[in-house]
Amino acid sequence: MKAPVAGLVAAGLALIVTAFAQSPPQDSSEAQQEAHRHWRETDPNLESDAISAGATLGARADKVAAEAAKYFSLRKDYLEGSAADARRGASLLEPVNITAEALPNLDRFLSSQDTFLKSTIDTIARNPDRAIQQLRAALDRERAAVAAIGTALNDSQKSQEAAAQSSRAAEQARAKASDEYQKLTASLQESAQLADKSGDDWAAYYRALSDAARGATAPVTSSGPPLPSTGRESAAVEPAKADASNAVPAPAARPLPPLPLVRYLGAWTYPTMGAHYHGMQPESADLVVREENGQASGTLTARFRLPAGSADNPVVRFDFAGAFGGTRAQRFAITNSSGVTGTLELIPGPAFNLLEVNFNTGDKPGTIRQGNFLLIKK
Amino acid sequence: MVLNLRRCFRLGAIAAAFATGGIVSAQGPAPGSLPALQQSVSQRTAEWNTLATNLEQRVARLLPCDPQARAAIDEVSRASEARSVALTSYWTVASLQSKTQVEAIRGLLSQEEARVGDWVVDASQAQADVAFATAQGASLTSSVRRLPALANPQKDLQAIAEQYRLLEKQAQERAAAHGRLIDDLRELLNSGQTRQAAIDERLRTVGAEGSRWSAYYAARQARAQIECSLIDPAAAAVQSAGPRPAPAAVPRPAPPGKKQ
Repeated sequence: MKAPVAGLVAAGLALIVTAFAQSPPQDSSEAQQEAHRHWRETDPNLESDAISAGATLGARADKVAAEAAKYFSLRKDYLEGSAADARRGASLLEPVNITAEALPNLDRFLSSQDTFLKSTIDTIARNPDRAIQQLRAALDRERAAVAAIGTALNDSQKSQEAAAQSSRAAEQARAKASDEYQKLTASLQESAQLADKSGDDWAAYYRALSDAARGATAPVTSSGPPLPSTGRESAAVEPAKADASNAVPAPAARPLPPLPLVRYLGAWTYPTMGAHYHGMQPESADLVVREENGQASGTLTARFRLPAGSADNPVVRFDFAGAFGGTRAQRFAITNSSGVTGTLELIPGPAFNLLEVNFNTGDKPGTIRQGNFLLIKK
Repeated sequence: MVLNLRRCFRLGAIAAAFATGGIVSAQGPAPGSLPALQQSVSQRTAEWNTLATNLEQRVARLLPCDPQARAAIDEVSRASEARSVALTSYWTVASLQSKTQVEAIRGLLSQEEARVGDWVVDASQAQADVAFATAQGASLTSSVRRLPALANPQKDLQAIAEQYRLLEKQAQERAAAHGRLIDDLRELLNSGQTRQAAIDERLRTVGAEGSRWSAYYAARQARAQIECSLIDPAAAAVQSAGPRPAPAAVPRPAPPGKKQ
C-alpha cells in the first residue's frame, strides 16, 4: 500500500508546489511601484510649464508619457498576475466530497447471537465432559468476540458521524473562501481593465497637453524616447492604432523579458508522465518557439481528450507571433488557417525545462477554445 | 498466521484499488475516485450484510461436519474482509485528499498573509493617485485662463481623476476582502485539520471493526470445528487438515429436511 499512497501524496504535493511556484513574484509589485515613482519624478514641472514651455513641451510630454506607459503596462501585468494567482487559489480549494456511509444494522443479529451463546453456555456449564468444556470455552470466546464487535460498532458509528459532520463544516468553510477568492479575482480583473483604460487616458492627456502647449497646429517630431508599446501586453496582440494626431513614434528598443529567452525558445512537448493541466486535458501537445530581432513566432499543435458525446474538433493547431515584452508571461497573437484568432501566453515554469501554455481562441463553435497545460523541453 | 495472511490480502487489495486509478480524472469518476470507492463500499456492505444476517439460519440447517457449514462461515468472513478493504480504501483516499487540501490551504494562507502589505500599499497608492490627478488638474486650472487650449487636457485629467476614485474604491474594497479571505482561510485550515483528525479516527475505527469481525468469524469457525469433533472426531481432523471447500457464490437455502 505504501508505494501507491506515497505516489498519490507526492502527486498532490507536486500540484500544490507547482501552483505556488506560479504565483506572481513579489518583485512584480515592487517593479510597478518603482515605475510609478519614476513616472512621477520624470518631469514634475510639466503641467506648471505648460504655458511657458511652448513647442518644447511636446518632447517633455512624450518622455513622461513613455514612463506612464511603462508603469501602466507593469500595473496591468501586476493586477492580471494577481487575478491569475487568486484564480489558482480558488482552483486549489477543490472540494473533498465525503458522503455518509450506510452503516449496517446488526444490533438484532448481535443481540440474538449473544442470547443464544449465553443460553448454550449456561446449559453446558456444569457438564464435566472434557470435550463439552472445550465447546464451552469456544462459546465463551465467541461471546467475547460478539461483545467486542458491539463496542467497535459504537466507536465506528461515532467516528463516522464525526467525520461526516467535520466534512460538512470544512466544505462550508471551503465554499466561503473559494467565493472570496472569486470576488477578489473579479475585482482585480476589473481594476486591470480600468488601469489599462487609465493608461490610454494618460497617453491621450499627454498628447492633448503637448498639442495645447504648441497651439495644436505645428507638427512636432518627438525627441523623447518612444512609448514602450511592447511593454504592454496588449500591444503584442492588437495592431498599433494608426492615429495621425499621435506624435509618438514607433518603438525602437524593446524591453527584454526578465528571464533569458532560452526559457521560452525551442521545442516543447506535453509529458507522458506527471502531466499538469487545467481545464481540458491534452492527449499530446507540441510547441515550437523561435525568435528573430526580438520577435517571437512559432506553432502549437495539440490534441485534447474530449468529454463523452462532444463533437468538437479535438485538434488545435495555430501559429503565433509577436514581440517579446518586458514581463515574465509573454503573450502573443495567434492565427490559423480557419481564421481563428486569439492569444497565447507562455509562462516559464518552476524548472528551467518547463513552460506553461495558456491559450484562448475566442468563441468559434466546434473548436477547443481554451487550454492551459505545462510542457517540458524536448 | 491467518491474521497475517489476511492483513497481506487487505493491504494488497487496497494497493490494487489505488493502482487501478488516480484520484482525479477529467473524464468523470475514475476507479480510485471517492464516488467510485463509495459505490464499492455500498456494494460490499450490502453483500456482507445479507450473508452475515443469514449465516446462522444457513448453518443451522447443516450437520456439524458438513463442509458447507465451514464454507458458509468462510464466505461471510471473506465478505466482511472485502467490506473492510473497501472502507479502508475509501477513507484512505479521503484522508489523502483532505491532507492535500490542508497543505494547499497552508500554502495559500502563508501566501496571502505575505501579501497583506501589498493591498495596503495598493489602497494608499490609489488614494495618492486621486490626489495627484486632482492636483495636476488644479495646476492647469490657473493656466487655462491664459491658454484656453489647456481646457482639453484639463478635462482629460478630470476623467482620469474619476477613474482613480473608482480604482481607489476597488483597492479599498480589495484590502477589506483580502482581510476576510485570510480569516476564511484560517477558519478553513482549522476545519480542515478537524476533518483530517476525524478521518484518521474513522480509519482507525474501520480497522478496529474489521479486526473484531475477523476475530468473531475465527471464533465462529473454531466453534463449528469443535461441534464437528464432538459428533465425528475423524471428520473434524480431516476438515482441519484438508483444504477448505470453495464457498457458494451466493447464499443458498439448505435442502428441506436436512437439519441438525
